[in-house]
Amino acid sequence: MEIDVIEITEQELNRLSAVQMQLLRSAQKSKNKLRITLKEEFALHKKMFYANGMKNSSLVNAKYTELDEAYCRDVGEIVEQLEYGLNLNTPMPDDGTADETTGYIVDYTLPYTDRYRLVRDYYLTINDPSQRLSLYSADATAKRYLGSYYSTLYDVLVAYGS
Amino acid sequence: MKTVFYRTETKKVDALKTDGAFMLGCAVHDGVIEPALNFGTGRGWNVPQTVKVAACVDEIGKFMIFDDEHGVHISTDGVNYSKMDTFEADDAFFAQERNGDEAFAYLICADKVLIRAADYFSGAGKPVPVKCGVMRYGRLFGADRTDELLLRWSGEDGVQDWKESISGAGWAYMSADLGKILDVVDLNEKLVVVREHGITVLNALGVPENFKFSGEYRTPAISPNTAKVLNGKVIFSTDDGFYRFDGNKAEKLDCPNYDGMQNVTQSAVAGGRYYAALGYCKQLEKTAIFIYDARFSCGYFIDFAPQYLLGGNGKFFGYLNAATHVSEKTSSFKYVSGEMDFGTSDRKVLKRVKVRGSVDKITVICDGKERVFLSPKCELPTHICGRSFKIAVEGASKIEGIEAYAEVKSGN
Repeated sequence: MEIDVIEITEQELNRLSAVQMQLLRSAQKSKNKLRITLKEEFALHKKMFYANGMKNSSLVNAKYTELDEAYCRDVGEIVEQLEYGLNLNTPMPDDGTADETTGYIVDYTLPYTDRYRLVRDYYLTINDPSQRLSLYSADATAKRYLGSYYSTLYDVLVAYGS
Repeated sequence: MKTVFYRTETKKVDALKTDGAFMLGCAVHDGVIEPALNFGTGRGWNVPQTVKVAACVDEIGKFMIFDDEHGVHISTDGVNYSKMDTFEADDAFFAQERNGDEAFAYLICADKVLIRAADYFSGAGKPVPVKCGVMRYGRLFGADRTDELLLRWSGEDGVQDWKESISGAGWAYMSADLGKILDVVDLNEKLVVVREHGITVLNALGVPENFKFSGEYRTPAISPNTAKVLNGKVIFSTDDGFYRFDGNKAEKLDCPNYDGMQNVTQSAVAGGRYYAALGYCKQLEKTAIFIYDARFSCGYFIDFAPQYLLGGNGKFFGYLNAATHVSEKTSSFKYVSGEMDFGTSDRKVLKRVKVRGSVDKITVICDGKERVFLSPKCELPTHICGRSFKIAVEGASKIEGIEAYAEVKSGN
């Protein structure tokens, strides 16, 4: 899927979490749909203008401008909603400036494998292995969130540490 | 030497049914000649010397004149005027509309508009890109000032609203086939774009994106400034006489004995019945007015050439030399029949002319020579010998028939 609903580099794309990716793809789908509707509506109006003898009139461009403005407004709303959603679901930085309740997306609608990946990715950003492990051990949210996967991840983090 | 006496017989011709008759101030219909319209003596005060454009603005019950010296004059009766304003413009046209309870007249030129409501004038300085047109549902429709094939319409806010958008002002190009746009008139639910060689119809109901060109009708070349609406039809002058368009078809006006005018420059309508055209009359060899009477589908000439011709309040107004001439019932008329040869090119004797009505003068034109009979009897013995004859009568009251009797050789 080609992404042009917002400007995003390949690198930024790769750093997105599953939820963020989902939000992005959903927004892109909506934009694509709007674009198809714009083309179809314009084609229909163009045919109508031709049938009415208004082929060489200001109506053709004026109608396209009207449809395009509506399209841009709708896309703007999608982008605004997407940016809000992406922001909400951005993993918190571990430099102490952010809210410390959680540094990763806590979304109980996700399957356990996705949750596991989110939490793993977050903890692997912490360079110091011992700090990493100690933070993970203290993370009560992760215990609830990952369920039986908690211990599996603990083993993985230990393995990374050694 | 033997004298040969041929057997003869009397033949009768109805002089009102001859081709090529000429009517001056009288209408011929259903076998009668009736006194028709003429123009009275010039009168009125403060009538401008030269009229550039004038209009009867029904919506505000006033007549307005824009003169050659940029004066704007107003009148309640079309005869007497008061100068109300100055409008610096070389070229302008009038438009009018009703907006709810208020009615407006507009004098429009390239870069400003003079607005007249019932009791006041005001001005607006916005450019108006059309050189002629008509108001319809709050929009001004008209011909572009510079591009002869471009039709423009204003936005919903009227003559000053030219901001283009899908629901605002806009334009459409006409096809080049019928030539440049001469005028735009409002005909019932349609706009009729009068062009050099025909008519294009625009359905302009609702928003502009629903506008539709619904037909093109080719006609002979149309004279500018001659298209007027009379009884739900547009009448206009062409190189081939007068034509009428009813919204669905364009047809030549059935006008018996109309031999055509040249250089028709103006027209007007009045009384829901008459269409008048100002142009060169071949028979009179001068500029004159031709009147078409829609009630009887007949026409006649009036020997008068105003500088400007206007219709309103059931009458015609001819402006000339700072005076107003108003149409009225004529006090005298002239009817000249077409050529009568009684069916033979041989010499024959016109024995008598029978006129059913009172006339002041009968003139018999025989082979180009005239013989005049003043205060003739209804049955006038003539005894004129020749090959062909015309009968001209002059009078002031209705004539219910003119018959010519001639003795011709038997067997012809």
